[in-house]
Amino acid sequence: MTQVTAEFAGVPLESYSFTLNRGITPSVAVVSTIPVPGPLNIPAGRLRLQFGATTIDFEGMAAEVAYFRSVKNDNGWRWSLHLTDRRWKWQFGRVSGEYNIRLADGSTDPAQRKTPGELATLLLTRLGEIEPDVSRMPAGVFPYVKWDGVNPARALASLCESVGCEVVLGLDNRVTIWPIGQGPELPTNDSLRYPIFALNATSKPVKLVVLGSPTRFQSKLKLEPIGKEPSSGHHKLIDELSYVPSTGWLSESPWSFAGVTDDTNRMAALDAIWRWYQVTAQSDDSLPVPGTSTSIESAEQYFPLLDELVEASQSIEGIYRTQKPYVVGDFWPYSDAPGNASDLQYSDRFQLLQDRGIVQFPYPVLGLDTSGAMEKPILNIVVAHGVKDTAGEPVRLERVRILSGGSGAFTIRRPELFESFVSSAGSLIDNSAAVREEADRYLDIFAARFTGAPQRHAEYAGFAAIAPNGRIAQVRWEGGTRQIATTKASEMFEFDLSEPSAVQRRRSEFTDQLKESI
Amino acid sequence: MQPTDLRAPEFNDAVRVVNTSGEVVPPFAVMRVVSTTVVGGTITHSIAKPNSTFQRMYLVNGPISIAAHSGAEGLAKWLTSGGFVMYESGSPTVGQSWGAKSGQWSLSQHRPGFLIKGGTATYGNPVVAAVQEIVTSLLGKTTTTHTIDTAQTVDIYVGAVGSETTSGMSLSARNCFATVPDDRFVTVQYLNGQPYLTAARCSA
Repeated sequence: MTQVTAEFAGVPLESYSFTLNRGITPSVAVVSTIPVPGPLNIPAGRLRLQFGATTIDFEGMAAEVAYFRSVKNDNGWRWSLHLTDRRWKWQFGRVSGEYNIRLADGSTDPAQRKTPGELATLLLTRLGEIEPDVSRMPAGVFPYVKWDGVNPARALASLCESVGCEVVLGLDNRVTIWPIGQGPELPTNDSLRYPIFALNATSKPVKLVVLGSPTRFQSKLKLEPIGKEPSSGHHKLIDELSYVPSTGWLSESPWSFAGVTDDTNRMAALDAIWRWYQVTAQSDDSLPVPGTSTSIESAEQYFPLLDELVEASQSIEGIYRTQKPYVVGDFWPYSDAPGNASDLQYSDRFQLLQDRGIVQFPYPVLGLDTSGAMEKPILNIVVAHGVKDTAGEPVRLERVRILSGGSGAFTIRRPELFESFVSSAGSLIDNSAAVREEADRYLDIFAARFTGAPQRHAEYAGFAAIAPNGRIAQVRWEGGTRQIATTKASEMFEFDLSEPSAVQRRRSEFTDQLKESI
Repeated sequence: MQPTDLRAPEFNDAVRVVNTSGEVVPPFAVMRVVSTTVVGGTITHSIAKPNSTFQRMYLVNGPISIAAHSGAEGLAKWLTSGGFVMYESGSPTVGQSWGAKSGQWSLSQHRPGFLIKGGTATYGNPVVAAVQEIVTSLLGKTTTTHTIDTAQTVDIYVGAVGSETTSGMSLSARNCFATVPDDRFVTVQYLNGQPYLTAARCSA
């Protein structure tokens, strides 16, 4: 008969059951031993399971719970101990950092770009892990992370979740990050107690969707002067106002509007005429936005305007900085002489009412021909904006992968991914190819989760040195002096219903994360 | 509300004017002050084209023309810090003195009031950079026997040295030193802000 032994920190165990899970939450071994007098004071130690020539060690396990339990057959009492694997240490520590910040054009700043593997290494190093294996983590994606004094393990769990990976504590005491669905299969050998049971799960989606943020368009938009009706507060083009002077706006001093006789209207004119301008169309008077075929019936579909341009600038230190929208056009620049400057960038401050597409200048901005006659200026604002379709739905990055079988759509939200288009002087610059490639990588990653291996379950006589990986989700070793030693393991699902499920563990981790932020 | 709050910084030293000329006031026109009132808390000058009555200072329109209709308003400057002002023709050069002329919006040469700084340009009309100086003395001619201790009309004479002619403008000056016959050159000086004859040609 094969020799079976189990011990914890050198103390022989009578019974033991240990379900090893993936993730950051430590797995718990339930073991029992003969009580010893006095308080139980066992330092963190090694749990060793031996079955013939097979030895499985779990280093650094800590006794978390101990209680007495009677044993029926000999009416004796035993210590029942709950031992948590060394991931208990991961509940401590913190990390800060922000990586893969997207520039306004959707690209990542090279200065702080990190691959998932680099991010995971950073976190695992902070957790004290030596030589973790992150080599299998996906490349070609750059998930945005912002850690502000957060627990590194929880940050690692979120990171791995976002790139379809699992954190695995291996039997070699080394942490490996496995992509879901990848890794060695359950072994088929003589110790199998019965044929491996397999199930092709039907509860899977028919398609995967990567959903990015709304697309950003940088356009040169036309500004038209507007005013307001004091009675209603409504905005109107200046020639449609009820108090247009009899000689028109162009013969009125913009500093007094003496031709507006009603005091209330005159105050409204001083407030707004030649100071407020509204976006009405593209600079060429058309409505369609370069970069999208979405039907545009009104400039309202551009709103809200964004407060930063798609194009970024570099500081002298080489750091990318956002740029603000600017007004450009033909207008009198308050020079000593009459006459408009041509295609001049307005250099003073102005307020942009983003949700209404209105630009408010602190003083009148007007046109003046070279003989001193006032005229309507030609003003445009170079600004980034989204586009809504006629039903109000924003145009956004959406990449779809159809799977075989299944039902419904599984949405992968990647808010840091968005397309951008910059139209300037008839040319169009976009990031579509790069951002779609990155989105498609996410589709590849998550497709493996639904089109990969079937759910399989196996039971082995004795202790089998099976480690979880991207495919094997759970392994349980159990046995004792009064029961035979077995090993159970499953691929692509967790069989042990007595354990909190992966979903429950994640929920618990989120709760801990919330507590952390209080 | 303070209307000055609404002006662009470039116009902080400007004054509000109302056009009473019945004509479009071109940019940088020389303007006579007809009257001054306070409208809505703002000093407002009614202006018109210079006429035969001499004024010690004139307003100069800004770069925006002022419409002709009654009540049309604009912003003007006294140009004491310098700026563009219309001139009628010729070639104003630095250091010359040009001044207002009755019946026109532009400066004319050999007249008092504006010291040329150079920098001519054309904005509908020829303009030149100049600074306005308050007039303190004038050359004139008596229009009648100017009895001592009376105020009489004096024609202002302008022109190149030795070729002075009547300017078309006049003013009333007080004579405090001796009776001066008609049609004699006199010097008028502003003392205590008022014009006095201070010298006169003795012989005809």
